[in-house]
Amino acid sequence: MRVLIAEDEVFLADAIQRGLRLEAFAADVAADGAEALEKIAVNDYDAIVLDRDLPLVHGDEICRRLAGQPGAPLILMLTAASTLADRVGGLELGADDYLVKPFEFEELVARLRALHRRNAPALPPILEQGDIRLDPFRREVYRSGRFVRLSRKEFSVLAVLMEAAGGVISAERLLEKAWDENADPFTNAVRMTVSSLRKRLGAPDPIETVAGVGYRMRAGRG
Amino acid sequence: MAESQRTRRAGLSIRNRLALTYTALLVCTGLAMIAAVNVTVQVMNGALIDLLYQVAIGTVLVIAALGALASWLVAGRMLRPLRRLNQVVRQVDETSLDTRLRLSGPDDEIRSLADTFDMLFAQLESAFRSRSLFAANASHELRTPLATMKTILQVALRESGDATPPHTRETFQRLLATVESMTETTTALLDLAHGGRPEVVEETDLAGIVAEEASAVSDQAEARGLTVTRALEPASVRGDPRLIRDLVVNLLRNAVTHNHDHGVIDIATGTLPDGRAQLVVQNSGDILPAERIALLTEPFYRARLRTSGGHGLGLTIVSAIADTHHAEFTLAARLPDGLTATTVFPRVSSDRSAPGRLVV
Repeated sequence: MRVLIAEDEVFLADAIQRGLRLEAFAADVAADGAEALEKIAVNDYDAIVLDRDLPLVHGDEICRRLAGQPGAPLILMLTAASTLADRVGGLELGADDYLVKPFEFEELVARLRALHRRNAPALPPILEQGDIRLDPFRREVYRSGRFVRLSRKEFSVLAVLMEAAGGVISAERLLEKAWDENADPFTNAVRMTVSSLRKRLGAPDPIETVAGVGYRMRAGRG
Repeated sequence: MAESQRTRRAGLSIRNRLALTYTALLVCTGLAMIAAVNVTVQVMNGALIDLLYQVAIGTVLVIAALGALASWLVAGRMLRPLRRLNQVVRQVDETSLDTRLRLSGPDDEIRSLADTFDMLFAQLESAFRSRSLFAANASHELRTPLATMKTILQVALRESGDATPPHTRETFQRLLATVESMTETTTALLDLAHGGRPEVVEETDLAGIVAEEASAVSDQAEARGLTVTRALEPASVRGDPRLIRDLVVNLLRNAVTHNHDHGVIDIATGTLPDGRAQLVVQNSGDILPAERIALLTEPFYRARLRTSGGHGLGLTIVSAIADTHHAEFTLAARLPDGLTATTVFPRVSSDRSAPGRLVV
């Protein structure tokens, strides 16, 4: 899951980014509204953590522009004001959820995961594919009931593959969803991570390479 | 204000004084006319003189009666704008400062007085608005750095693995607790600024809110060994349910915080014989002299040490919310010790029980 943090308070943005990376999110930061719009146009985000009072382009304006656009990222608005009018205002403009500053970091993470699930209505809270179970909230993976220890990047890649439920995911798509903008598109980071993920999951190999297209989870295992 | 009205000397209204003045003038004019007639008729004979006197006196009486009536009516007409002005000004409070008299009619003294009042309302309105705006801005400016500190600390606690020395984790946790308490104070200050601004107005039962909030503080009360008794009778009030809940929460927290261990709290709601709703919260605690009780609603006044908890704004918020709802809030010493806090809300009149309206 890839998230854009649009927040002008540099320290806050940095702390959220570090915290989200700990939770195996791919997270980028935009320090103002114009930069946020630019990054949204270039990258495919699942969600935006949007500060309402952004410089250059106001958070409300970003909401307005994204609302109704097909495939637009979901918006979790951060607002410092807590009056009823403010809260209702943000939601009316098209925000999908809001949190009042100061918030609990754990709550931010839980709400982002819930938003992501809302985006793909068929997505159950716990993903299961064959004998692999992936719990996004606890960030745990089990194979045949046995706990599998994964790095954050490996976890993100597995989550993207499992969300596709057997559909083929290209290497570019994996790079887009599981890495943030610091990733170099010409490295073989995806290949390396998939290979280490296979090793951790063990035999029989649950990930299938579709030559020239990408990767997918093998279906129909029990 | 009400007291000065009560002690003011009773007197004639301006309308009556004006009417009396005009009538007196007319009577004087009539009498002068009679005197003139008296001088000119010195030479005339008796019977004619008598007749003339009777006609003259009769005319004076009729003129006086007509004059009294006319001047009373005219004065009433002229003073009508003043009565309206009085009515409107009396009803204006913090929530209706956008009221304007916009008096029509001739450009006279009363019109100019009304214009002056309109100007005053406009100035008050902008002063209140900038006060509320200031509070909102200040709160925003404080909330963002507080949010930053909180997130930095929470993420740092998550990042710190087993290798982190325990005292570093403890430092993070203490800083986090301090940020929490600063956040509470900031929120309370904002509540105080918004205390004068109900967002939604509707009819609610005080007993229901009190029952819920009493359960919410029962853990804290139990931890201190407090005995809580409740006598909750239906008590209908009209106002912003969120603000009324804040009022109840602050009263109950105050009763728990400023109590002895193993003390008592008595909570009662009900409707007075005249239909007004009442909430009484009594708690044991320190013996407080009257002059200190009077200071309890002052911001940041603490009857005891800082360490006794709370942000020092609880009763100030209660008092502000009570004012907004035209409720009477009184604090008195409880016997033998502690405090009695009584809030009496105005009667809910049936004709105004329309569904919630937004008055922002």
